Amino acid sequence: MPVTGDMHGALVVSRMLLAAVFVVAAAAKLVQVDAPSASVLGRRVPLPLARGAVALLALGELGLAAAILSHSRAREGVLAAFIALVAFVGVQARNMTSASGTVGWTNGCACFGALSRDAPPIVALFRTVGLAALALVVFVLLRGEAGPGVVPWLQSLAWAPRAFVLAGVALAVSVIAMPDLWRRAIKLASLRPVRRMSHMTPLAAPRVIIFLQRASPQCAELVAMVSDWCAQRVVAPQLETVDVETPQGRALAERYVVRGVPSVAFVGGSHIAGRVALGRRAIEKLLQTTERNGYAAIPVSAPVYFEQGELVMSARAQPGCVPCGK
Amino acid sequence: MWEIARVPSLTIGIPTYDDFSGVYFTVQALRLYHDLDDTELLVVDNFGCQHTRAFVEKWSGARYVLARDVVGTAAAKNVVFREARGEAVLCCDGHVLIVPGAIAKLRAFYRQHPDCGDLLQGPLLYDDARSISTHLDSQWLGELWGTWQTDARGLDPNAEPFEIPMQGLGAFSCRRDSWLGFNPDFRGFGGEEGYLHEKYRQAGQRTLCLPWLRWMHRFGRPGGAPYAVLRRDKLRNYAIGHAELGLDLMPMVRHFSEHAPAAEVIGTIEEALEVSWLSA
Repeated sequence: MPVTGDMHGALVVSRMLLAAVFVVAAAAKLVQVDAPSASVLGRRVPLPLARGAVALLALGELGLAAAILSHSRAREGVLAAFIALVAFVGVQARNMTSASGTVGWTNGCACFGALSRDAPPIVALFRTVGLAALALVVFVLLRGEAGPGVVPWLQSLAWAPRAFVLAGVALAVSVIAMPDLWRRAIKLASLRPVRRMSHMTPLAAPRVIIFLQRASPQCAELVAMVSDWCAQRVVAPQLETVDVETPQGRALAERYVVRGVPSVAFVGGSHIAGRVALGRRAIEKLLQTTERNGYAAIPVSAPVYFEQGELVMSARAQPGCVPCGK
Repeated sequence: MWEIARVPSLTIGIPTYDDFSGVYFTVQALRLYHDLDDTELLVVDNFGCQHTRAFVEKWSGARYVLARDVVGTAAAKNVVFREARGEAVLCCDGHVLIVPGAIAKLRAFYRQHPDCGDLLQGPLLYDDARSISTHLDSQWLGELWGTWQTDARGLDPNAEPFEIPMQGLGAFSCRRDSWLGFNPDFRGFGGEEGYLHEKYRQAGQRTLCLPWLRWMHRFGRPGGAPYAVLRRDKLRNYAIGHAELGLDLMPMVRHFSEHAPAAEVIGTIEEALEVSWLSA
């Protein structure tokens, strides 16, 4: 089938879309690497190994995006993307039918890191199937027809159509990466201010720090649980992990009066530490309380004491930049 | 005709463990020396004493609940609040005596303060019926968190309520719907004082001493306690409670290490919390 000028445009837009999808997926993995690390390669895999694998996967996706956009290697890039997407479909399908859920995408899909953690597995599966189908069509139509490059084609457009195309691709990628975008928007619009108590730490957008030992399987499980929790928040906190077996990690643990691992600390923008939760049960309780009452209701970890009949409470942890401790 | 069950203003809940005499005298003293109008009596038996059951069901007019699923002082108190039908609950041990008039005053207090979500307690009255301790301060002593203290504001029974850091939990009260509960993982004896008070503070409530709500506690046990008071239980409960509330465990570790090898203390904490302790 001969490729017409209009079809050239459609092929370029499709390549842009495929490339953008891989770029967003890679960026989402790299930005919050712990979230997919614990779920992509299974919660029994040591965290450092999982992180490395996720980073490699993200770099591979960036390479695919570059190939798809290139003029000379576009067809090979699209073919590689198709093969990768088919592989993803296989993994997703297997996990949907797997009872153990210990390998692969255990909770739906981690392709887009924390962005699409709430997407139902079936939606994620159809999404990947659709992208694979698109890649296949583009691969077939690109046969012997290199067509114009992406940049020259965009430059050939007037500013209005060009903006329309770019906005359309951005919107499409957003919907693909976040199928529950509309639900998040509604949730965000319906947020109410939470009751703030006088002795509560005002935390608007906290960081969540997990103090752990890298080699511990329990810690890897906990990272997965906390990253799941963070991903489900409307205003997602930034998740960081601190290995207490490193000198820097140990120093930070001492600074925040962390007595054991795993521990989780909420740290606000004002660098005032909220409570430090020690052990899985306390961490779960802290997350539940925060879920119910909001970030503003995270009580300070403070031993209570009285001075001349007056109740005194103060944060134990010292202020400082987290996690570098400067 | 159907009769609509009326919700009593107050439930007096009495947790007990193999202590017939204690329950007998506590319940009978309440019935003889107090106005129990609009008040429910509830006995929660954590042991399963047939004598206690027979007395409560046949003679006292109180309600008897057998709760042996989880053995421990905190667990039994949690059942008291779960089973209570009153709008407010006074939980008092089955070996505690309340001074005359205090029950009626407590009902009146709740009527006058319908939105009170605080934890209410009163001074401990010693066996001489004169000396009191209004609260515990947050010092560790004898494997327990809190040492008895007396605030001068509590000497006059007609004085105004005031805030306290913690108090013995032989008798305490709150509205049933404001009960925050003990950690369900508590077992055996210990770990309650301080934990519950801090929990109320973290929830934005207060822990108050009502100077007129005086209670006498039978400390003496010539025959020994019917249950084992184990260091391991105390340490475990304190660790779980401290972890839940985000309190620093080091003061507790230091104190218990004066009574037991530090490795044993740390080991118990690690097991209770499923954590790895970071050595100093």
